[in-house]
Amino acid sequence: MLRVSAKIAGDTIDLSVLTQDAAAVDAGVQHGALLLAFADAFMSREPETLKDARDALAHASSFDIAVEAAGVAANFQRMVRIADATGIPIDDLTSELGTTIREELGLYAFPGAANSLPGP
Amino acid sequence: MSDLNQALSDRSDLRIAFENFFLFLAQPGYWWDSKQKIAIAAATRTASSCDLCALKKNALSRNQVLLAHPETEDLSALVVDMIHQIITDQGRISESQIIALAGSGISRLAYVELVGIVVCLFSIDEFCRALSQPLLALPQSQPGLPSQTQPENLDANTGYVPMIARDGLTEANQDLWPVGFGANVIRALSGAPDLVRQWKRLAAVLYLPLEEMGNLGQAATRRLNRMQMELIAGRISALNRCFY
Repeated sequence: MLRVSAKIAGDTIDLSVLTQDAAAVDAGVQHGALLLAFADAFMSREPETLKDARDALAHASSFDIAVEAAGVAANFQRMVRIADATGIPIDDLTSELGTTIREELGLYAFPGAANSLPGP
Repeated sequence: MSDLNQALSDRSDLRIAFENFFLFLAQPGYWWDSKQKIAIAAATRTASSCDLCALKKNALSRNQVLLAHPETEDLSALVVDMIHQIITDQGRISESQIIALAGSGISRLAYVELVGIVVCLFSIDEFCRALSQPLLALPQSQPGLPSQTQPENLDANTGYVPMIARDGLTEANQDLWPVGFGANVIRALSGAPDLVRQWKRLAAVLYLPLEEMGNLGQAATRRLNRMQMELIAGRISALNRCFY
């Protein structure tokens, strides 16, 4: 989704920021570093770290944006749990774009990959 | 009113969707009565701070930790353990656990309903946490028995749970996904159709309505553009080690 949305917008995105250790880079997205820092702080479950990251994002953009960022983060806490708790496979494992991205990001090492890949 | 609270009050759609879920939570479900549904929600809330879950999460195998979660008045220890694992260690859920639950009297369809309650409540709570807001109070239970109904055209060939076949929507459930769509993540909870409706409603306010997900440009109702949304989504998913 990220790569395709960037392509539509005529931008280039560095997908490696999704799986690498946090780095203060925008990755080709406006406020990208602040959004990534907010996501990392949210997942850290450290209240002060989260507040600092949220305030930094809000002050650089707006509190409306911070509310929306919180919504997206919360939403994707649900989606992974639906997928893993029900063992669903990826709908189309054969698409070239999907395969390339999964390889680039090392997603085949994730436990949920077993739900999509042929057994031994 | 603080800037944050002002921004929140401008999003009445969020409040309405959350209130709708809590009204739903208070009603008897398909396989769980109201008291049990609320107990599932309460157990969901204790998972993130559960010491036993931390032990199990850090163990090479969860089975190395022989301690069990305490049962509650309404839920068995096995059910509480599953609820907590969905929150804290979902990547290691296996079909053998769903089979064990079935052996204890919790059918796969009841499990689907449980998953739906857990994940919907969790996403609401996580939104509150992200904004340092207090969690919303769980509702009072309502009388009534579970309906014990299931949708037509269930298919058991995808994942661990029965779900409506991609082309199996009937008139009663035609709102679940647009014709020709039916991605597995949408179908996953369709054994309990109201849970699909609930998560779609929550997704529509927290992220985007299903019907707008194909629009990869700027949504008219959002300040974040789609790249910004997907950057957060991708990072959260990666930190959750989400393959799907």
